[in-house]
Amino acid sequence: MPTTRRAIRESSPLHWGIRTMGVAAIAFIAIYLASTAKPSTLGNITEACTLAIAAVGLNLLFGFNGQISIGHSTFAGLAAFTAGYTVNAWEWNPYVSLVVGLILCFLLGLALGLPALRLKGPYLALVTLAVAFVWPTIAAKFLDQKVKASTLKGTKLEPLSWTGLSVKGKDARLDKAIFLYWAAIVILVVSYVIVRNLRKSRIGRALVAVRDNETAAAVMGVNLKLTKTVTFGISAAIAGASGWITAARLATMDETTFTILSSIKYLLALFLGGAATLVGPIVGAFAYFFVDDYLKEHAPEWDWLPGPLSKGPVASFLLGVLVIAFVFVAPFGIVGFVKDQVRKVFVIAPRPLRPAPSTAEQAMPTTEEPRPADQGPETQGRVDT
Amino acid sequence: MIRKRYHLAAFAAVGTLVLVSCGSDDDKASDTTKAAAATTAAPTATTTAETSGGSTDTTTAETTESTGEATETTTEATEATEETTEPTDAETTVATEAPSEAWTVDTSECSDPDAAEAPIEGELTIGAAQPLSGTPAVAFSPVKDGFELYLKYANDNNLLEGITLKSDIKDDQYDATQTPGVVDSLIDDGVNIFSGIIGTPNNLAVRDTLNEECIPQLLNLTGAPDWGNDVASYPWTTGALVPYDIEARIYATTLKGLIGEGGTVGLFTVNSEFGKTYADAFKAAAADAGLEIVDEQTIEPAEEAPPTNQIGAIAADKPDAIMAVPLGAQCPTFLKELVNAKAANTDWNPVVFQTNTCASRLLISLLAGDAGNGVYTSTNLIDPVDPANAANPGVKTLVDAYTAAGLKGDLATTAVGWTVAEDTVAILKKAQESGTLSRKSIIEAARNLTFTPSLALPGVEYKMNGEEDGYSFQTLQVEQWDQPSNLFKNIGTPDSSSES
Repeated sequence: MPTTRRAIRESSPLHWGIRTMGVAAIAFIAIYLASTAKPSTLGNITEACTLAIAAVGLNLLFGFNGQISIGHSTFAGLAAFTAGYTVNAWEWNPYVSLVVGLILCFLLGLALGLPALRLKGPYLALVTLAVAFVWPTIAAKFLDQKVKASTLKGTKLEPLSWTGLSVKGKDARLDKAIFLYWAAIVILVVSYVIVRNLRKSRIGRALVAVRDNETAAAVMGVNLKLTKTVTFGISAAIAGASGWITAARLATMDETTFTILSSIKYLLALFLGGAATLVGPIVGAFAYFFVDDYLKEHAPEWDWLPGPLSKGPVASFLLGVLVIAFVFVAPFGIVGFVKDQVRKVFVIAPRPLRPAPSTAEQAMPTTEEPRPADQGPETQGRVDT
Repeated sequence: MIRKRYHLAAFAAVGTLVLVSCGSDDDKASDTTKAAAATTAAPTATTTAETSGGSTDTTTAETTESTGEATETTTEATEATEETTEPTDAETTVATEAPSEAWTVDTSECSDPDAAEAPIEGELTIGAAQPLSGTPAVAFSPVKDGFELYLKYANDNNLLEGITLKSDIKDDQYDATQTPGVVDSLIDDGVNIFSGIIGTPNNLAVRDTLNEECIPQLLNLTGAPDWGNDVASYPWTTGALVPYDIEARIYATTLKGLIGEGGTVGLFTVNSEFGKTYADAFKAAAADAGLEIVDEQTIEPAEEAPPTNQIGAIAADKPDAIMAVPLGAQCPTFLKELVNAKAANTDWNPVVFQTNTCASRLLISLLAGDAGNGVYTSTNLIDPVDPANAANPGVKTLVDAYTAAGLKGDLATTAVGWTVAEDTVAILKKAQESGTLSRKSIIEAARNLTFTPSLALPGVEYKMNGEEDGYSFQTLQVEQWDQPSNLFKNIGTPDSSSES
């Protein structure tokens, strides 16, 4: 049965209005929480932001460029250890350590991007998996030989004086939580903007072209080596930013702080939210974190679960079952699922073509993610403009 | 194509997560075992000693009368053993000699000094972060049951006059990155003190916060030496287990008796802070004991495959003994792999020591089976599972409460939680006796207390003395697993040589 849907023209005043309202709503919630939430709530959001930042970086690599990585925990670990060590041993400014950490991660990402030139899919995944497995050993050796201790202290990021937040006294715990909360949000927003702008640019179209068909992309003039290695580098640097926040949040770190499990969490957040969508990794990270938190809090008390699951240590198991079930229902993640539902009500109609596109632009592959709903007969319904 | 790729990648990720979590769902494990960290802890009940805050040297007697059954049972337990080093009195909690000047804590650096000294009245909530889900929960979750069980017992018997004890234990999955969040939320919920947080990195992750906030972080369930070697910097943090370096030294001494001076030892350790602490301490102790380390092998903390290569390398040197420091599920896989190596080297039958974090029936008996027979380890608690201890009053009290509550987790591990709670209540009682029950008086009581837990082996006692002695328990009994009887057998007498 044909449906009647309303179309909103892309970049029209209405479209901008909706976008602005969305951003304003998120900003309001962020400010409201900073003003009213307890330190533990702010800490949870900070932790969710940390996961979201890493997932955003991974999305650039996997979602838009088609290169899978199970080794992003290594980049987070490298930046975190760089920050922890330089701040504590060399008394560096934590923000300088952030820059240095990002550069190191970018360079390591470039290096890891090299095998990606010849490897694809599961073979590339195996290489990055090996990197994730190697990191704890490297970290342990570093602690043993350089730090001469079993743990490395975090950076203890303290509020900057101009913020007016206190460092000592009764409110210090809350103020430190507020500062870290904003630091995480700022880094998340910057990461998002970087990925968004890359995605919307000529480079982004090249990324997607490489993902969809490397041969065709090369034929059209995309530099495969440069595109793939630099993407790996940028993605690694963003994951490093996530590690820097972790170093600021934790009092101590060791070789178990960034393991293969961390990488798997990044991937889960990405798939839960929706890979190859801009906000998907953020939505997925928050969903994953807070569902996990809820299950850990309540599942051990659930006596309605059958047999050995009743009042048992089952939070992780239930989380896995939920994710599997969700992947069946919404294979494109939360954002993909919501978009499909919204699309039944109205669509965003693309801007009219520009008068004289260049030959090169015409040759660029489509930047829109193929969606089944875009291709079926349902989408042919009447569009009111 | 894209859809297929997403599916594959998503399933790979989810599959790994489920695999990681599956360990916790072994129903055999859920109702039989768990003890891992267990054997060590230790708790309270009989002898409360010395000073009570301030500078008094007097001791308090009669206080114990009011503790009712708990005290009585413990005292009886002590009498039954006939080996207690502390003089006990059936009706008193006793106050023994006190240091000339009791240790006090400075609250001026606290984020809120007034809150640290504010009286706690009516209800006192004890918080903790422990693994309640995921693989580690298999071994550790009965600790929570035991802890809550003793608090119920304390409330029912009015052990703390005018105070109702509550616990709020949340899940950190043994993941130190999660512990700060859990502890933060517990602080926000109004928890008064923390007790029994499990795991070295987990406790380290919150030590700074709790010391800045001046909230007592009592009886950490880990044996890292960190909990007692820097009282001045971290006055609000104490440990519950015998420090790993003391344990390693006791093993080296025992080994010398078993294989003689000049005997050779292979060292197998997990490549983590835990393993490194052990390895360093054991190597130093072995050198003092005249033992020769002929091979050192390590295993990564996350490694789950049998350590075939490592054991093969040790077997090639055929040492007289092996000191093994694996982690969790690596304990049984090490023992099984060792059996294979011995089968391939029939003339080689080394003496095997494992750290007491492996000393649980789950790890040694159920998972390793016959491979666990004869392995040496240590404890400082009476084994409540051993029928020979059934008549012990402390064991009887525990078993009665355990049965009445319908618990099914491993009894020995439950005893650890019970004992930590018993210690905590003893500390609180001493703090209450000082006049004001506050966070300040609680940590001062914790660091100025001598106390014998009801399930403690002879000679084992909680004993802290300000900055001079920052460790609560320092005595261990070496024991050997006997698979046919499914019991541990004590080897020699408890080693108290590290007590200060």
